[in-house]
Parts: sequence; structure tokens; C-alpha cells
Amino acid sequence: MHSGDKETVPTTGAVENSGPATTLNRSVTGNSSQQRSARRVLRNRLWVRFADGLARLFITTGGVGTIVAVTGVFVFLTWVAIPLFREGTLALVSEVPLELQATSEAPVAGGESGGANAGDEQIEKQSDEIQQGKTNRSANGSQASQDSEPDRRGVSETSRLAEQSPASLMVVSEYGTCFWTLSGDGRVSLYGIQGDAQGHFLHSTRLWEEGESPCWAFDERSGRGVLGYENGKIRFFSLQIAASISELSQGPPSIASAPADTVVRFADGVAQKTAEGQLRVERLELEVSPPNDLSQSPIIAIDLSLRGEDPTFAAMTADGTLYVESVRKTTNLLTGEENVSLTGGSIVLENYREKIRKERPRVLLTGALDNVFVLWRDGQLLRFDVRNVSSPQLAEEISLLGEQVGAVTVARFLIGKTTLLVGDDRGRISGWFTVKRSAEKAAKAGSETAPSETGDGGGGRLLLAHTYPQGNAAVADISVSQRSRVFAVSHADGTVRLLHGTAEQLVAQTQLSLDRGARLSLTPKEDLLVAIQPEKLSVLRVNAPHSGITLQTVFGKVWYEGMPRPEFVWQSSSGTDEFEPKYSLIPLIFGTLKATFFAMLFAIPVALPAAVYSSEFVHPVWRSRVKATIELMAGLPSVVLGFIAALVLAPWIESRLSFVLAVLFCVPVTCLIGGHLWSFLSRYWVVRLERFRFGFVTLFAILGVVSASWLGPWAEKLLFPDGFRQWLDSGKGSGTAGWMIILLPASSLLAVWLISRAVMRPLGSVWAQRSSTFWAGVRLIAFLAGAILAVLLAWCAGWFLATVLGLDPRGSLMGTYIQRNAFVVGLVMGFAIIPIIYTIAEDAISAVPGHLRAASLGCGATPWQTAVRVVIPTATSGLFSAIMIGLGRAAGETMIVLMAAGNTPILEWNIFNGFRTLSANIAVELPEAVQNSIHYRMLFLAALSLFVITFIVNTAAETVRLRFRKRAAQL
Amino acid sequence: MRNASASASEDSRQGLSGWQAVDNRHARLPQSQDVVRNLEDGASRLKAVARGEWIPSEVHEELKHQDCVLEIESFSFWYGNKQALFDISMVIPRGKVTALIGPSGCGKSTLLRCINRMNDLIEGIRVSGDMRLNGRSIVGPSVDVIELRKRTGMVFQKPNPFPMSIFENVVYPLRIDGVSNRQVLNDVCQQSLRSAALWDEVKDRLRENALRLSGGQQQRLCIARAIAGSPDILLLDEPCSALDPLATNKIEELIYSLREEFTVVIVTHNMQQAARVSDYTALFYLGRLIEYGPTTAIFSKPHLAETESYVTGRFG
Repeated sequence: MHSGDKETVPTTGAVENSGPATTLNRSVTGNSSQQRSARRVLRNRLWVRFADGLARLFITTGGVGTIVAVTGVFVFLTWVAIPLFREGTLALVSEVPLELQATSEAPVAGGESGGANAGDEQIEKQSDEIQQGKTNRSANGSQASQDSEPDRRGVSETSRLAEQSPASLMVVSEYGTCFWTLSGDGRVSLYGIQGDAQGHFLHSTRLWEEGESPCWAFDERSGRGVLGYENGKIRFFSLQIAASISELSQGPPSIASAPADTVVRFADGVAQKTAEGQLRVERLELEVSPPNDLSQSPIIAIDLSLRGEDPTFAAMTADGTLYVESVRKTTNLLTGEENVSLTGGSIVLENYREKIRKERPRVLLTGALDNVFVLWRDGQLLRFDVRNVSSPQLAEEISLLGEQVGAVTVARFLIGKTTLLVGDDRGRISGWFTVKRSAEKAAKAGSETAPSETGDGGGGRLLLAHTYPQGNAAVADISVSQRSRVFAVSHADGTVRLLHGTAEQLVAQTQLSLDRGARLSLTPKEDLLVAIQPEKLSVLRVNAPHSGITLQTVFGKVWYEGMPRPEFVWQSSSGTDEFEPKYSLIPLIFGTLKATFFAMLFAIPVALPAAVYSSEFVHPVWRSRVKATIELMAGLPSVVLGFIAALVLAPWIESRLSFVLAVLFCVPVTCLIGGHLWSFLSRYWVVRLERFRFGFVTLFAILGVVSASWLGPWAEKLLFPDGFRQWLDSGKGSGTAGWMIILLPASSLLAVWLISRAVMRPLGSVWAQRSSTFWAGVRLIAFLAGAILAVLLAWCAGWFLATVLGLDPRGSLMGTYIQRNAFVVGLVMGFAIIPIIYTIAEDAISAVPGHLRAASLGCGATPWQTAVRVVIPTATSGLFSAIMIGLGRAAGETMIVLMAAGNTPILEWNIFNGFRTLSANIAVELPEAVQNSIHYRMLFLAALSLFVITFIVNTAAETVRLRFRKRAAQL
Repeated sequence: MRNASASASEDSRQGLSGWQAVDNRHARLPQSQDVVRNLEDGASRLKAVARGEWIPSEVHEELKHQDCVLEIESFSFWYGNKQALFDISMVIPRGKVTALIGPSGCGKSTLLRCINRMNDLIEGIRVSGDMRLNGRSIVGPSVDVIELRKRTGMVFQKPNPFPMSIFENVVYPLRIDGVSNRQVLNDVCQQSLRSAALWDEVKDRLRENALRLSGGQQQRLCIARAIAGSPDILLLDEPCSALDPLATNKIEELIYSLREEFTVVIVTHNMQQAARVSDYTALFYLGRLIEYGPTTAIFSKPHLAETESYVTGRFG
């Protein structure tokens, strides 16, 4: 028939090889002239050329469009995520002289220069006292001799009135329009920051009377404070800048025509025109409650923390007694009389009386009301466990400065009052917090021996968790943000730095015009930083919306509050503002890998053999049916699968764990037994019963399930007398049986190898001439022996690992059973990706040229040998693609893991525990994330990571695939 | 050969339509009168075949005294309802090259594939009659097909080396037998490649992928693979049809040199090739064995006029 074509060749050649044109020409015009046909060819060609061009355009557009779309996604994700790593800025907005108070009774301006620290009331208080000559002068002198500039100036310029009453505290109003300072003589002064009020003194009032010199503590968040008097009394007060909204007409006439946000002096405060055209008036409000008795001895240091409405305070008296008291305010319903009652306890510090007498310590009470720190300038710190308020215990005594020389100049809590920031006169800043001993023990278990530290064993230890970039001069002040872990530090040389408490990151840095230490205050909105130096007010705009995110915090271990050591943690939100957000992507990436691993663990052993079996061994009619059915599986929405996994399968598996595990082992065994039994059939029957073979194997699979239903509980009783779940959860009992389960697949392979090498091969030469039925019997016996051998091998290996090496599988591959776990997800996600892997693998195997099969069969290979030795190696690139596409689906799968994985972002390989994947995390958290917040951008970074992981995996897969492909390129 | 087939295209097309006609008539019983009449006319025998009539095969005397590897007895073969082979009876002499020739679709490849039961892979086939390889029947469900195929080596139309190294290709029959002794494998590989006249070309690159060889080399590699299993009979199914003349020449030389060691059955529609390499030649037409005899006799003085017209290129 080949020669038949040849006859047409001359004709075709004459019309310039245009095949379709010729055909058309013939069919329409028959024996037309050469010229006419040429014209027609021309016309057709125009159309063809147009179609060609169109097709090319479409294909090019499609191809380029795809690349652009993918690149666009990448660029968009990067674009959203990249600001996370951008440096923050501190820009000077304005710098004006600070107006001195008109009256002479309490000049403030100079006070700022004192700047020991606004944050640390006690030390301020102490330096007040020192300067007023009430305490040991020599101590003061030794401070002065050190290079802490504020202190030195404090001593050398005593002639200045200002130095005698430095501003001990400075707080900016919520709207950043004004701030108040507290000077050493009890005067509270209000100053403006913006508009015509900028730098102007507005109002002043007294927190305590002249002549008194109480110590005090103030909580900026609530605006409440406490005063401790020398007569042993305490008074609570509330001091805040109160804002009230009123009509514009009630304000000064100039503001009506002014643009929004204009700030003017108004009465004894400031007025601001709001964006809504109203007038917001802010003025100082002070309320002091009547005194309460605490002690007979003078109170020298005090701190206050609020948990809810009722404050708790810790106070130190001159005789060395530490009081910790909870305050309860009760109102008499009949009289309306308010009654303050104190409940708590005290501890007398006999051993430290001398030190307390010599130098006032400062007292710090943590926000969780569990610890009180007593801190001296030389870095000595006493930690008291006050979880039981009625009996404070000395927990430990450590030195914050360690071997280093220096003096603590500032000690301040970060938001939440858990991390203690300590700044010294060398410009060093460190972060400390208490680590619970139980957590520490758990962390140390199995690792190096814990250094024995002093402590009561219950309260844990105060650890140096963070060391921040060192400044050039003594730390003058620290102001912590009220909304994040950012804090501002001013140094004695006039530098102001913005640091992040968790990330140990220098967010921004700037230099003030005066090289003096500044008193700082971050506005509650964290948008402005107000700094006062002597007679100078500097307003800095803070632009650091994404502070605390560095590659180290995202991909490295970070030491979070209360944790025994740096760890990878993802915990993006919590109920309180004081929460420390933890943005490590590692647990999520790990979760993605874990999900993918377990899904592939279940899917590959099913999908690939199924593909091989159906394309090589199953009757073509059945093959198409099976394939269609399995492809139907792929159409199941993953949300349905997730729903089934979470609500049906997870509880079901939880209640029948031994059965489910037994099925995994029983079904392959019974199917193989079925196969062996089949080989007992004579050739005659094999040929005739071929079509029932599939059903026969299925029957044995069902038999496997049935046998598992009694074998599972039986094996559980035998191996785990207390029950498998109990064994997993309790951590008690031997690990032998657990190892046995894990090692069973490996030992099976080993047994197969041993049996085929050591038994079947020698037998093969001895009984070479025996009948096939005889051999079928031998093989069945060998298989059963192998199965028993596998179990024994696994048990021996498990015994060796558990008893001789002392390893326990719990804690690594197994562990506490959680209902929604990787096992369930693996099963269901495996089910979801089986169709994809199966379909592609089946196509790849079917695409292996038939002549290779023929060659192999022609050499005398069995279909099985042909499949294993020729077909599968030839189809490797396709099988690899199948696995990789399955892998891609598993990595990106969201709904199943979202619903069935428990979403606990933990780093554990335990198959019976949950995890959280990148994709599920995005799905869960994106709706809650505030747009353009750190959290929002972190989720985009998570998406970018997922993109990059998938991209890398796919690229690697494609490279590998092409190498396989090259091997079979000519086929 | 090319010219011959080109000029004879009309005939072969008629042949095809005749073949289709056979479908409906194959059940018809042969009539002795027709036979007698057709014997007188050179082309009438072919026409009778085309009509589906029974024609006795012309088997030369020489073949009846040969030591036979394979005996084929009244063998018929059906693809579903379509009969492809009609009552073939012939013997394959040991240690000789037997060529099966005939126009396309004459069933020569089908016969070859029946010898190692490769046709088993096709759905709905039927056979009748018997074939005996070294005296053992190879037809019927109780025959171990795998064992049969190990006793026969097969080389296909298109070179089909496996996408593995040259070495692995050659020792494949041993691998599937579970031989893992390195020494044995090396010896067999070298010996087979030498027999296949490929050793000198590939001895330095045995680890290379076999697909990098040229087409002719690949086909010789396939022959090496086929003889590595030391088969009783070597089946070559148009081994040179996909090769250029130079490679064809080499293969032909190789086949010629294999005659002492192996029994070779080669299917070819290149008559020159049959004439060059074979000791015996069988002419098939539309599933019938027309004439079977020593190659020299078939090509120089065939008993039948039809054979003569075919080998001289007047039809086919």
C-alpha cells in the first residue's frame, strides 16, 4: 500500500508540496488547469497563514501569559512580604525649646536632663533621695565617678535648681498632643507637643505636698499609681490626660477655621480639631485616694501591677521588710463609703538590711504577680516568689551584670511586665525573664545536665534571654511601647535607638541635637517618640510598622518569654495586648512537610502498584473501568474529604486504632496468601479462571480486613497489656512493641531478601524439576515462614533498640495520641492524591512502547518481570512526575489538613499528633489578620515560602525527570 | 526490490481486496475440480487462493529428510473471526536458515509469532493443528509459555533495545533467570556480542545506554540479546526492514554466520535477502504455504509458476 501512495507523488510535487490544498483542489475542481489551482492555493494560503499566525499568537500569548501570571504571583507575594524586612526609621519632626514653668516653685525644664530613666521610678526616686542628701553620699559619689553622664551632671551641677527636681516620669497622651512630667518635688506639669502648644507649659498640679518625699510607682496603661510615704503609709492615685469631645464653638475662635488635626492651647490643656470637625480637649486629671497604713517603717521603694481592676503592689521599707499586698476596694452599699483592704504577706530580709540601708534598691513586681525583683545598682538582684501572696519566698539571688563592671542605670519591664530590660552605664541592654523550672526540666531531659542553681525548685529561674546591640554611652532612659515589644532607648550621648524586645533587633536609630541623655516617651499608638533634654523638646516620628521581623526570627530559633530556651514557635495572636507574637515559619514548613510525607507514605504504595497492576495485568476492559472510577475519586472536593476525615474517620480510628493498624499489615499479607493459593491452580485452570483473578484477590483483601478485626485487638492485648493508647499516652512500659510496629515494613523486606537468597535459591537448584504445584506449595510455605520471620526480626530489633540501647519510639515517630492527627490526614490526603498519582502513572506506564514489552516477553520474561525490569524503569520519568504532582497537591492541600490535622503548630514527627501546614495556616488566619499588619504580611511570607518550596521541588523534580527521560529519549 | 514492489502495487492491492473476500468464504470446502484446473494455469493458483479455495502446498523432497527443530502440522490460526493461517504444514531444519517470504499480509509474521506464542498477547485468537519444538508440542493452554519463549529467541522488525546499558541488554535473558554471577554474565555478554559481530564496536562502552547505538548496531544488539539465552530456535521478524542497506548487509552477514550454531527462521519480504542468507525458503500467500524448498531451488527452478512469478517480481 506504500507503493499506492507513490503514484500521487508527482501530482503533489507539482503544486509545491501543499498537501491540503491539493486535496481540496482535486475534490472541488477535478482536472482543472495548473493556473487555477495555483490561484486557489494562494488564496488558501492567506487564510492558512492567518490561522497559523493566530495560532502562534494564541500559543505565545498563552505561554507568555502563564509565565507572567506565575511571575506576577511571585512578585505580588514578595511585594507584600518584603516590607517586613525593611528597616524602621526615626525621623525628627520638630525640635523646640521647652518652656520653663512660669512660677519658680517647681521648674521643670532642667529636670529632664536628670533623665536617669522615666521608666524606672524607683531608681529615679533613689537618685532624688541621693541628691537631696538623704542617703549615703558616698554611694552617690561612686555613681558620679562612673561614666553615666546624667548622674555625673546631677552631682556636678547641683547649683541648678533643676537638678534637685528632675522629671522622674514622662507620659505622652494617647493622641500625641501633650505630655506630662513628674518632677522630684511632686509637681506634675503638662506640656504641649503640637501646634502652638508645642514646648509650652500648660498646667501643673501636685501629686504630693511640698516637704514630703514619697517613693512612687505608676502604671502607664491604666494611669494608676501608688505613693509610699516615709511614715509607712501608702496612697493610691490616678493620673491621666483625659480627653473630652465637644463642639467646635466651645473652643478658641481660631480653631474653627483651622484645618483638621490642628492643636492649640486651650484653657489648662490642649484642644485639637478632630477629623470629624469636633473639638477634642485634653487636660490633666489627678485623683489621690486617702492614705492607708502599711508599715511603721519608711517605705523606700514600691511597685504596682494591675491584674484586672485591683492593683497589687510590692513595697520595701527601710527596715528591710518586703511587703506584697493585693488591694481590694469595697464599697459599703449603705453608706457609699469606699473601703480599701490589703491582703498579703511580708518577708524580712535580715541578710540584706545593711545593703538596703546603704543603698536604696528598687522593687519590681511582674505583671503575672508571681515574682518580685529587688535590684541594686550594682546589678545584684533578689528574686522573690510571690505566687502565694501571703508568704513571699526568696527564690534566688543573681547578679544581672555578672562579671562585668558597671552599674545598672535603668530597669524596666517590657509590655506585659514579664521581660525585665536592664540598661547599664556602659550602654549595654539585656532582657531577663523567669523560666519555669518544670519547663526547663522538660527541655533539659535527655540533654546535658542542668547546672544546679539556687532556687526553691518551684518558681524557676531568672535567665538572661536577650542581649541587645550595645550603645555607645550609658543608658539614660528606656520607654516601652504600650502595644508591641518595641522599646526606645536613649543614651547619654544623645543617641536614641528603637529596639525590639523579642528579636533583639535594632529597628531604628537617630542622634538628638544635644549630646545628653534624653527622657523618652513612646506614644500609645507608637507613632511618635517624644524626647526631652534640658530645655529642649524633640518630637520624632516613628515609622517601624514591621519591627521584630528578621530572617532570624522567621527562620531561626527565638527565645520567647517563659520558654526555657530559644525555639521555633508560631503563635500569631492571643487574647491580650501583652501577648508576644511568635512568627517562626519553621513549624508551618515542618507541618507541610509532615503532611506531605505521611500522605505520600500512604498514597505511593497504593497508587503506583495499582497503576502498574492495572496497566500491565488487568484486562483492558476492566482497566478502563477501574481508571474511570479512580479518576472519579479525584473529583471529590477536598472539603468533603476533610469533613469526613475530621468528623467521621478521626473519631472512628481513635476508637479502633488497633484494628486500623492491623488492617495495614493484614491486608497485604492475606492478598499475598491469595496470590500464592492462586498459583496452586494448574495452567489449564489459570487460563480459564483468569477473569476471576481480580475478584479472588479482592476476596482475600476482605479476608484481611476481617482477620484484622480480631488480630488487631488480640495483638494489642499481647503487645501492650495496658492498651495501645494508654501505652502511647503514658510513656510507661517498654518500647519494644512500638519499635516492632515501626520496623515491621523494613523487617519484611529483610525477610523477603533472606528467604529468597538463603532458601529459595538453593531449593531452586535442588528441586528444579518439580512440578509447578509443588513449587506453589514451597513458595507458600516460604512466604508464611517469611512472614513469621519478619515479625520475629522486628521484635528482636525492637527489643535491641528498646532494651539494649534504651531508645523509646515514643517522642519521635510515635507519641501521645491526638484525635486529629497525621495518621488520619495521611490516610485521607493519601486518598485525595491517589487518583492523581494513579492516573499519571498509569498513562506513563501505558505509554511505554509495546515493542519493549514484546522484546522482554520474547526473551522469556514473565509479565511481572517485564513490568519490573523493563516497563517501570522505562516509565520512571512518568512515574516520577506522577509522584511529584501528587507531592505538589499534598503540599498545597488545604481543606483536609485544615479540618483534620488539628492545626497545632508543633515540631513533632509523631504520627499520632497534629500539625499545621503553611496553607492551612493561611486559610485559618488570613481572615483575621489586619491588612498590612505584621501578621498579614507574615501570612504572605508564608504563602511566598510555600510558593518557593513548591517551585524548588517542582524544578528539582523536572530536572530529575528530564534525566530519566533522556535515558529513554529515543523510544 | 523497491522497484519490484512499486510495479507490483496494483497486484497487491487486488490481493488485499481478495484477502477481504476470503473472510466470507473461508468456510467453503475445496473442490478437487478447481484444483486440477488451476494447476495448469500459472496465476490461477493465486486466484484460487484469493477465492478462498484450498490449495495443496508444494513442499520439496529435500525437506523430508532433514533433522527438524520444529514441526508444524496442519496449523491454522484465527484473529477473532478472521483466519490468518490456513492449514500450514512444514518443518524447520536444524542448524539452517529458513526464510519465510511472501507479500504483505500473507501470514508469515503470524506464523513466526505463533512459534513463540507472542500472539497470545492478542485478544480473541484461536488456533488449530499442532507445532512441536524438539518434539514437544507448543500449542495448547497447558504449555508453559515462558519456558517456550526461553527456548526461542526473537528479533523484531524495529530494533527494540531496552533503555539500559548495552551490557544489561545482552544479559537480560540471564537476569530474568536470576543469574547474578558476574563471571557468567560477562562471559555470556562477550560471547553473544561476538556472535552478533558487535563486540569490537561496543566492547569499550558496555555501560553506555543502548539507545545511543545506531539502528544497525541496535538490531545486532537485539540479536545478541536473543542468542544470549542460547535458544533452540532464533526467530527473526523482518530484522532489516527498518535499516539502511549497509546495516542490512551486516545483519545479513551475521545471519549467515549464525547458521551453524542456531536454527534461524527469518521473515522477510526482501527476496534478495532471502536468497542471500537462507538455506530454505517458504513462500506464503494469503495465509497459505504455496511452496517450500531449498532456497536455490525456489529462486532458480521453482516447481510452481506462481513462485517463479513472485521471486522474479511479477507479483507480490
